[in-house]
Amino acid sequence: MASVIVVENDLKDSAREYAQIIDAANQNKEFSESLGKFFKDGSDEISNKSELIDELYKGSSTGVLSKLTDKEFEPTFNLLVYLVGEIAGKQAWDDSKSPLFQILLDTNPKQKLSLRDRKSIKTSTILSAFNTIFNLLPQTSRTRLTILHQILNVVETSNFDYSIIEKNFGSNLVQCATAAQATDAEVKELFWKFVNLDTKYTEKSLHSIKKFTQSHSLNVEELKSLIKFALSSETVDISFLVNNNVASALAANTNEPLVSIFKQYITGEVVEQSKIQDGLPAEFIHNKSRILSLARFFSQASQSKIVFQYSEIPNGDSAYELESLLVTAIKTGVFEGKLNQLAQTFTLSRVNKLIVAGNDQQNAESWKDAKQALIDWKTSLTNIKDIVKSSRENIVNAGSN
Amino acid sequence: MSDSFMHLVRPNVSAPAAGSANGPANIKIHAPALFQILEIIPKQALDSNKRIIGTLLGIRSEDGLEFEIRDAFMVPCDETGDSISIEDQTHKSLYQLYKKAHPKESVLGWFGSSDVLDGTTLLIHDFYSKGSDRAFPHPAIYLNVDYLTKNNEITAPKFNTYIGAAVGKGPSGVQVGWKAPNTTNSYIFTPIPNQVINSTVTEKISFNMLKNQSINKNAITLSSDMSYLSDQLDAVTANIDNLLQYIDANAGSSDKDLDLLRLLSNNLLSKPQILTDLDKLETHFRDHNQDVIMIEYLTKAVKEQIELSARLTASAEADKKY
Repeated sequence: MASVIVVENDLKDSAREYAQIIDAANQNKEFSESLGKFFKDGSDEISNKSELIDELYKGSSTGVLSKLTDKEFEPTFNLLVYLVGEIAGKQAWDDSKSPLFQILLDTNPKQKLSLRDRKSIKTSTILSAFNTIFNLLPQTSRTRLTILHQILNVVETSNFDYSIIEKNFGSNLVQCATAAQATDAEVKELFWKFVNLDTKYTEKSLHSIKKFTQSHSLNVEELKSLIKFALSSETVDISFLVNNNVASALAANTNEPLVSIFKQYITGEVVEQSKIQDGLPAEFIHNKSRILSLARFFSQASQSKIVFQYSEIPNGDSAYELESLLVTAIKTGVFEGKLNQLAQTFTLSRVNKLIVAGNDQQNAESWKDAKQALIDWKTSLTNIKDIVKSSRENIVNAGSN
Repeated sequence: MSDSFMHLVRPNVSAPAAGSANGPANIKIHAPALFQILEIIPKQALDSNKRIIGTLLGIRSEDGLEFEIRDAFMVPCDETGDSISIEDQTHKSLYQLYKKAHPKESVLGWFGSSDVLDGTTLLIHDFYSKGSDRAFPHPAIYLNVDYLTKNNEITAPKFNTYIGAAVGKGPSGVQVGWKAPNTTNSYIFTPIPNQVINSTVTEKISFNMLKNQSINKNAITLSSDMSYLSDQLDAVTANIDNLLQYIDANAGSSDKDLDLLRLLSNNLLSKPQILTDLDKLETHFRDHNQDVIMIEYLTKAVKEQIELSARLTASAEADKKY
């Protein structure tokens, strides 16, 4: 069950209640009188349904509704939705051209509200109203797609905080759109529109891109948006984005300069600032690639040892510069370890291996390494178990003596 | 979020202390509360589908967006036709009893089981939204347990949680001169996502222990910390065995396999050196045990001292009196 409206009053009383709210906003009695004509005295019968609907919409113009406060607007709009559903049938909601949507779009504040302003209608209220209509519609309704687009438009035009809707909207967007009979192209359009609203390039968005590209192929434009998004993100290790679909899109577009920069980046090579174009932050990406190249060095070298002298580590001119690079890298989570400034050594405890799809030979090697590591851990665990067992026996014996 | 609804921001509700909606709401159901509800709800099936309801207890965040259901109790009610009477007094006394043990928790809303949301649901929701010793002045939430199919067969229970969005003019929007036909007796039951959580590690440990013991055994023996540690080591070794078996059979280049490989490679490949050095490990472990025993001993000594001093003070006080 999605949203359900339960109203105790009969239709006539509900219509009267709505008319009173509008009249109070207008400070006259005109709307009550004009609606009153449609109800016969003493009965619930409506003389002309379509004219009543027209009258309702006429009375609910944006100019009138925006006079209401934020707290009053949503309940009033909910009542309007209920009245429309009762008078014209529930199919009236299931119409992508329904005036209800236009009312919401027109009422949405065009500018960010001042903190002092506690009465004006907020964008969150508009989104909630869209949300309510969405939940009232059946799962398969294509009007749900229109609402999804409208929600994205509202978020985009009113600078609404993206992080508020990110989790709940993003996690089910594809599922809802597919259930609403959207074509593959429509789903893709919706998804990329949603992701491009994220101006902070968060890791959460990167993960939703990864999830989406696992089940949907990419064309050149989509691949470019993915690359631009990933490179602009603060997340350094973006190798997890390269799944089989992305790998085949990369292979099909090798002549694109952006693709070659991306390939260079995810394999752990330092990307020169001069090569980075397309309005991307060159210095930022260059610094990120230096961290990743350090991770590549450690992942290759960690097979044989885990303690490194400063002089053995490439990429740093002075000890100070290397230390600050190492600290930045540890902060990003690409690898972990301990610095010993006196002995000028770095002890590595964990490093991200840059695993990307499409590189079968390297991946086979990595499987072998992972398996070996698991076997080592298993042996160590057996040893620990023996130690625990012997300690327990010691304690028991000590207790009995 | 279930597959059939979307939840972006909490809708405006008529409760005065709710504040304006500025983010998504979320409900966490603690496992013990869930079991409690599951124990109460099926009673409905026993007595020719008599409606069973109860009160949800727990805490809510200050912004009114996060709810944590921690406990629940049943409230008797009597339904005849369209009307329903709830034993208000029982609810009140049970809640006040609960409040004594949990002063920081309060009524969050109610639960029930029904395949339709109708006028009666609305009446009960209204009961919980208004009046003292209920959710007022905060909005009430409603948890619906769906465990019967249309043919009255029992299925795996589904939990839907709702909040009642206001319709029409709420009590907060009262303006002078309005001839109100009726004050809010209308709600849009808006679904809110919920999740079941295990609140503490101790709860998990005890649950696992209960799970492992056969129900035929009369007594459950509590194992000591050491053997618990051994059990855990066995469990981890068994998991590693499973993983190795999977890698041998299936390791390939599908997206899921690559994710697994990435997870393993990024977290496993270097292990602390100490694990290979057995003697050192044994010394460390023994030292750690000694430390624990020492701390236990000291705690006990301090505790005894405190008790002794309390007794001495008490007897000195008693001497003074006489």
